[in-house]
Amino acid sequence: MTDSIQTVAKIESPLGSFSEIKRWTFKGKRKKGAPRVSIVAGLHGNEYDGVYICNQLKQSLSRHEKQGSIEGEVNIYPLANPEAVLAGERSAPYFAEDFNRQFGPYSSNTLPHQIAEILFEDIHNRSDYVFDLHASNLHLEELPQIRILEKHKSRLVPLARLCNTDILWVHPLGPVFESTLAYNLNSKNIPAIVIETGICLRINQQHCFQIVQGLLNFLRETGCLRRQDNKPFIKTPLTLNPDQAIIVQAPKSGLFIPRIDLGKNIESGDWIGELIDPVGEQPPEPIHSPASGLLFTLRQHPMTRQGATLARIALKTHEN
Amino acid sequence: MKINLLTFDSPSGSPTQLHKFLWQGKGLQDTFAIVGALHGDNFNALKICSQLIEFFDRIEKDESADCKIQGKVLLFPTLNIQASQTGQMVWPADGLNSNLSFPGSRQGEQEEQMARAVYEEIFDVNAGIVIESGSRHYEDVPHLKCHKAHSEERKMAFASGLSIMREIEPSPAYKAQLFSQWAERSAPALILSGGTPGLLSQSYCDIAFQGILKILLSLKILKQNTKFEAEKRTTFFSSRQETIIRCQRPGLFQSSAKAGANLKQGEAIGNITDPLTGKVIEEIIAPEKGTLVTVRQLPIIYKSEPVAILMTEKKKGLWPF
Repeated sequence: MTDSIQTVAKIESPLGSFSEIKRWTFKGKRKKGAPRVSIVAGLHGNEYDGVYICNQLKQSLSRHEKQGSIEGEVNIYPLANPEAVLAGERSAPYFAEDFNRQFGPYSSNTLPHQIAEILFEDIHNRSDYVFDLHASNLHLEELPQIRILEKHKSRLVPLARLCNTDILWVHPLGPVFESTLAYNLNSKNIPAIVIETGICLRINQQHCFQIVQGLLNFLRETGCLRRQDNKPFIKTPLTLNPDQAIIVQAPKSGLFIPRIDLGKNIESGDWIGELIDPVGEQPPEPIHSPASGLLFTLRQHPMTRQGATLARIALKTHEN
Repeated sequence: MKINLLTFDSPSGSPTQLHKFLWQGKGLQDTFAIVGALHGDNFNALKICSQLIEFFDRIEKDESADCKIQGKVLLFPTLNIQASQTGQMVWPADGLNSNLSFPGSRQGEQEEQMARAVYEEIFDVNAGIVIESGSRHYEDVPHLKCHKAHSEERKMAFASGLSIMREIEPSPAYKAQLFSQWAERSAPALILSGGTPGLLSQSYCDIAFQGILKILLSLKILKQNTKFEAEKRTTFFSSRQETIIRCQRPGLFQSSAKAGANLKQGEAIGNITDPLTGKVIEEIIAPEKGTLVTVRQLPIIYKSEPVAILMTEKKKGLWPF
């Protein structure tokens, strides 16, 4: 049994320093049929939940390694976009290109695209399953969830149910997804699951632990880790089809003050929050829930433009 | 005629409005769309659009003008008002790239709503053009681009009077870009590129302004008293004729050749200095004879980044074949 750390790609700066994309590998005496699972974090540099999840998972796998319970292979890429992670920005400031829009059959001259090709090749060559970990953007906080494109539904939903998330959201294909890591791995018949949780620039430890438990459960259920006698409790996610996620948009601009906690089950008409006029000329506008269900997305960034998302609600089954 | 497409309120002043401009002649009903700044630092597009607006408004009112509008012209000076107001590529609060937001969404963020509004306007036009500046950190010589040059694109390119037309490979996220919405439907469309983001090049603006008017004349969207004859001096380059010149060493790049220069094999393009020793660590030269269509402007350069794009003469074809 060996674990190792390898450099996948190296970015050399003009001032002599460099940054690297590294891969941790935990490899057991591979049982026949035991899968290789890869976990990628930090494609977007300001999304730290995934980086933390990788750290926690690594510690857990080190213990499993000592116990000899790793039966497959686990590859962890904790900082897929190291310069962006260091800067705390979605894209590396110098390159200013979204690293998760660099994948796929079409080419580009840029260095991020070259690096993305190297990373993709490395993941592709050593994975039977892939997890791509993301936090939300600057504005919205999310419950732990898995997002699956409709076209990959039949293949990915059974796998995603093993991962201890609250929500499993099946959504339609938009053009922008076609240049992502997960889409292109799925296109090459490597099941790739996108986990989204929390909000960028922060770490929600509770949500991260929940996902670590889910990933360990996935590793056990697929035979990558030896199964244990006491099976931990794993959540059954609420599975949403595209028409079962209700988006609450801001009717006007202002400062959004949430008045409810993320993860609450709410009724139609419940008070979600209010939009405050920062100049104080207009009275606050209350925001009420248009439906009953689970509040799985809630705006945290106060400054809100008209039309911006304030919340998302997973509809109760009877309202489907 | 200026028409409001979308209005977004503001807590700190007047609402933000997305406008389209429309001029309609009495002749044929073909529509040509002109799309300006997809990014807030594309000042060239804003200026070119402003010149076109002034021109169309003037000839629309002036009965005695030599040039008349015969078809329909749609023009969008910017697709990201707030980014354009700040001069930044994207609106910093959300960082959404307008040119990765197509076909847009009525339920999305403002960039996505603006993309959707413009997408619905341009969906069924007969032909169109997107005005770009060069890529971030680079300067382009004014030239035309498209994914596949069919006869209609060739006709427009010849009419424009511009000397270079490139067939480019789609980029990884191209399906989310505005231009691909036309390309996917096989609508004749071109990208006009020149200058540098964040700067305004009046010479590019003048070339682009004249080029677009000539394209409109060739398509009979505009008509003039004297017969319009295309100059047919455009040279076509396929993507196989592009040579991407990359640096082997990171450092400070200084160019010695300008975008648009015709270079001989071995001629200098620039050099790279080690910022910590002051020594020149790499000379960048043209690997073969060709025209520099793109040259790097930002001195800081990482290992393996493109320094320039050279259009080479091998495998070159002239239209018509």
